[in-house]
Amino acid sequence: MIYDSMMKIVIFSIISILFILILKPNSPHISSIVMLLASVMIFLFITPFLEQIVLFFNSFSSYMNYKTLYIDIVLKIICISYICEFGAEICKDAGINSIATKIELGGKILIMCLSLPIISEVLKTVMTIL
Amino acid sequence: MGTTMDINIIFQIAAVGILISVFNQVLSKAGRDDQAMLTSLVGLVVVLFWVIQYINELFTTVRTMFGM
Repeated sequence: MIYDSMMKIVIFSIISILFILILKPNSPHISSIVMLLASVMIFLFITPFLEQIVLFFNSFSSYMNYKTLYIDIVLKIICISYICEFGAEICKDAGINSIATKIELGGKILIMCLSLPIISEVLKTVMTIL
Repeated sequence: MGTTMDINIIFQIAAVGILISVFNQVLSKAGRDDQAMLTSLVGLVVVLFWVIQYINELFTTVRTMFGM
Protein backbone atom coordinates (compact mmCIF):
# COMPACT_ATOMS: atom_id res chain seq x y z
CA MET A 1 0.00 0.00 0.00
CA ILE A 2 2.82 2.39 0.86
CA TYR A 3 4.65 1.45 -2.33
CA ASP A 4 1.49 2.19 -4.32
CA SER A 5 1.13 5.55 -2.63
CA MET A 6 4.71 6.52 -3.44
CA MET A 7 4.19 5.49 -7.06
CA LYS A 8 0.96 7.51 -7.22
CA ILE A 9 2.76 10.59 -5.93
CA VAL A 10 5.56 10.24 -8.49
CA ILE A 11 3.19 9.70 -11.43
CA PHE A 12 0.99 12.57 -10.30
CA SER A 13 3.95 14.91 -10.10
CA ILE A 14 5.28 13.81 -13.49
CA ILE A 15 1.93 14.59 -15.15
CA SER A 16 1.65 17.94 -13.40
CA ILE A 17 5.24 18.85 -14.34
CA LEU A 18 4.36 18.09 -17.96
CA PHE A 19 1.47 20.55 -17.85
CA ILE A 20 3.49 23.15 -15.97
CA LEU A 21 6.20 23.03 -18.63
CA ILE A 22 3.62 23.15 -21.45
CA LEU A 23 1.83 26.16 -19.97
CA LYS A 24 4.90 28.09 -18.84
CA PRO A 25 5.83 30.02 -22.03
CA ASN A 26 2.34 31.15 -23.03
CA SER A 27 0.44 31.56 -19.77
CA PRO A 28 2.81 31.67 -16.80
CA HIS A 29 0.09 32.60 -14.29
CA ILE A 30 -1.92 29.44 -14.85
CA SER A 31 1.32 27.44 -14.84
CA SER A 32 2.14 28.71 -11.35
CA ILE A 33 -1.40 27.89 -10.21
CA VAL A 34 -1.00 24.31 -11.47
CA MET A 35 2.23 24.14 -9.48
CA LEU A 36 0.39 25.31 -6.37
CA LEU A 37 -2.44 22.84 -6.90
CA ALA A 38 -0.04 19.94 -7.40
CA SER A 39 1.69 20.61 -4.09
CA VAL A 40 -1.67 20.98 -2.30
CA MET A 41 -2.96 17.70 -3.75
CA ILE A 42 0.18 15.79 -2.80
CA PHE A 43 -0.07 17.03 0.76
CA LEU A 44 -3.77 16.14 0.93
CA PHE A 45 -2.85 12.66 -0.29
CA ILE A 46 -0.22 12.32 2.42
CA THR A 47 -2.48 13.42 5.30
CA PRO A 48 -3.77 9.95 6.40
CA PHE A 49 -0.19 8.72 6.85
CA LEU A 50 0.80 11.88 8.68
CA GLU A 51 -2.26 11.46 10.89
CA GLN A 52 -1.06 7.99 11.86
CA ILE A 53 2.27 9.45 12.96
CA VAL A 54 0.62 12.25 14.95
CA LEU A 55 -1.74 9.80 16.67
CA PHE A 56 1.23 7.58 17.52
CA PHE A 57 3.07 10.45 19.18
CA ASN A 58 -0.05 11.53 21.05
CA SER A 59 -0.63 8.03 22.41
CA PHE A 60 3.06 7.70 23.24
CA SER A 61 3.02 10.93 25.22
CA SER A 62 0.00 9.80 27.23
CA TYR A 63 2.07 6.90 28.60
CA MET A 64 4.73 9.32 29.76
CA ASN A 65 4.24 12.37 31.86
CA TYR A 66 2.35 14.56 29.43
CA LYS A 67 3.48 17.89 30.77
CA THR A 68 7.20 17.32 30.65
CA LEU A 69 7.25 16.13 27.06
CA TYR A 70 5.56 19.22 25.59
CA ILE A 71 4.50 17.10 22.63
CA ASP A 72 1.53 19.36 21.83
CA ILE A 73 3.76 22.41 21.46
CA VAL A 74 6.10 20.45 19.21
CA LEU A 75 3.18 19.39 17.00
CA LYS A 76 1.96 22.98 16.78
CA ILE A 77 5.45 24.09 15.78
CA ILE A 78 5.52 21.44 13.06
CA CYS A 79 2.15 22.71 11.79
CA ILE A 80 3.35 26.33 11.68
CA SER A 81 6.60 25.39 9.97
CA TYR A 82 4.85 23.30 7.35
CA ILE A 83 2.46 26.10 6.39
CA CYS A 84 5.31 28.62 6.43
CA GLU A 85 7.43 26.51 4.15
CA PHE A 86 4.48 25.95 1.83
CA GLY A 87 3.98 29.70 1.37
CA ALA A 88 7.68 30.40 1.05
CA GLU A 89 8.16 27.72 -1.60
CA ILE A 90 5.27 29.10 -3.64
CA CYS A 91 6.82 32.57 -3.54
CA LYS A 92 10.22 31.18 -4.52
CA ASP A 93 8.72 29.25 -7.43
CA ALA A 94 7.06 32.43 -8.65
CA GLY A 95 10.48 34.10 -8.50
CA ILE A 96 9.74 36.55 -5.67
CA ASN A 97 12.42 35.86 -3.12
CA SER A 98 11.93 38.96 -0.96
CA ILE A 99 8.40 37.99 0.12
CA ALA A 100 9.58 34.41 0.65
CA THR A 101 12.16 35.57 3.16
CA LYS A 102 9.50 37.68 4.90
CA ILE A 103 7.24 34.62 5.19
CA GLU A 104 10.12 32.65 6.68
CA LEU A 105 10.79 35.47 9.15
CA GLY A 106 7.12 35.43 10.18
CA GLY A 107 7.25 31.67 10.67
CA LYS A 108 10.36 31.94 12.83
CA ILE A 109 8.78 34.60 15.04
CA LEU A 110 5.54 32.63 15.45
CA ILE A 111 7.52 29.51 16.35
CA MET A 112 9.45 31.56 18.92
CA CYS A 113 6.12 32.74 20.38
CA LEU A 114 4.85 29.18 20.58
CA SER A 115 8.00 27.94 22.28
CA LEU A 116 8.03 30.66 24.95
CA PRO A 117 6.55 28.32 27.65
CA ILE A 118 9.40 25.84 27.10
CA ILE A 119 12.01 28.60 27.26
CA SER A 120 10.53 29.94 30.49
CA GLU A 121 10.52 26.44 31.93
CA VAL A 122 14.18 25.99 31.05
CA LEU A 123 15.03 29.36 32.59
CA LYS A 124 13.12 28.48 35.78
CA THR A 125 15.02 25.20 36.05
CA VAL A 126 18.31 26.99 35.61
CA MET A 127 17.35 29.53 38.28
CA THR A 128 16.47 26.81 40.77
CA ILE A 129 19.81 25.12 40.19
CA LEU A 130 21.79 28.33 40.69
CA MET B 1 -11.42 15.35 -2.62
CA GLY B 2 -9.83 14.16 0.58
CA THR B 3 -7.70 11.08 0.47
CA THR B 4 -7.60 10.72 -3.32
CA MET B 5 -5.42 12.78 -5.59
CA ASP B 6 -7.72 13.43 -8.53
CA ILE B 7 -5.69 14.24 -11.61
CA ASN B 8 -8.82 15.54 -13.36
CA ILE B 9 -8.57 19.00 -11.83
CA ILE B 10 -5.02 19.29 -13.20
CA PHE B 11 -6.31 18.27 -16.64
CA GLN B 12 -9.12 20.83 -16.42
CA ILE B 13 -6.77 23.63 -15.44
CA ALA B 14 -4.30 22.68 -18.16
CA ALA B 15 -7.11 22.69 -20.75
CA VAL B 16 -8.23 26.11 -19.60
CA GLY B 17 -4.66 27.36 -19.74
CA ILE B 18 -4.07 26.09 -23.27
CA LEU B 19 -7.39 27.57 -24.46
CA ILE B 20 -6.59 30.88 -22.82
CA SER B 21 -3.17 31.04 -24.42
CA VAL B 22 -4.64 30.24 -27.86
CA PHE B 23 -7.30 32.95 -27.44
CA ASN B 24 -4.62 35.31 -26.22
CA GLN B 25 -2.44 34.79 -29.27
CA VAL B 26 -5.35 35.03 -31.72
CA LEU B 27 -6.65 38.22 -30.15
CA SER B 28 -3.25 39.85 -29.94
CA LYS B 29 -2.52 38.93 -33.59
CA ALA B 30 -5.87 40.50 -34.53
CA GLY B 31 -4.77 43.68 -32.82
CA ARG B 32 -7.14 43.50 -29.82
CA ASP B 33 -4.63 43.55 -27.02
CA ASP B 34 -7.09 44.80 -24.37
CA GLN B 35 -9.47 41.91 -25.00
CA ALA B 36 -6.53 39.48 -24.90
CA MET B 37 -5.55 40.82 -21.50
CA LEU B 38 -9.14 40.53 -20.25
CA THR B 39 -9.35 36.93 -21.47
CA SER B 40 -6.22 35.91 -19.61
CA LEU B 41 -7.49 37.69 -16.50
CA VAL B 42 -10.84 35.86 -16.63
CA GLY B 43 -9.09 32.53 -17.09
CA LEU B 44 -6.86 33.24 -14.13
CA VAL B 45 -9.83 34.11 -11.89
CA VAL B 46 -11.77 30.98 -12.91
CA VAL B 47 -8.78 28.72 -12.22
CA LEU B 48 -8.12 30.47 -8.92
CA PHE B 49 -11.72 29.78 -7.83
CA TRP B 50 -11.19 26.08 -8.43
CA VAL B 51 -7.89 26.00 -6.60
CA ILE B 52 -8.89 28.06 -3.59
CA GLN B 53 -11.16 25.37 -2.11
CA TYR B 54 -8.32 22.87 -2.20
CA ILE B 55 -6.08 25.34 -0.38
CA ASN B 56 -8.81 25.88 2.19
CA GLU B 57 -9.13 22.13 2.64
CA LEU B 58 -5.36 21.85 3.12
CA PHE B 59 -5.30 24.52 5.82
CA THR B 60 -8.29 23.09 7.71
CA THR B 61 -6.77 19.59 7.53
CA VAL B 62 -3.44 20.79 8.92
CA ARG B 63 -5.18 22.75 11.65
CA THR B 64 -7.39 19.87 12.81
CA MET B 65 -4.56 17.36 12.60
CA PHE B 66 -2.10 19.26 14.75
CA GLY B 67 -4.76 20.50 17.15
CA MET B 68 -4.31 24.21 16.64
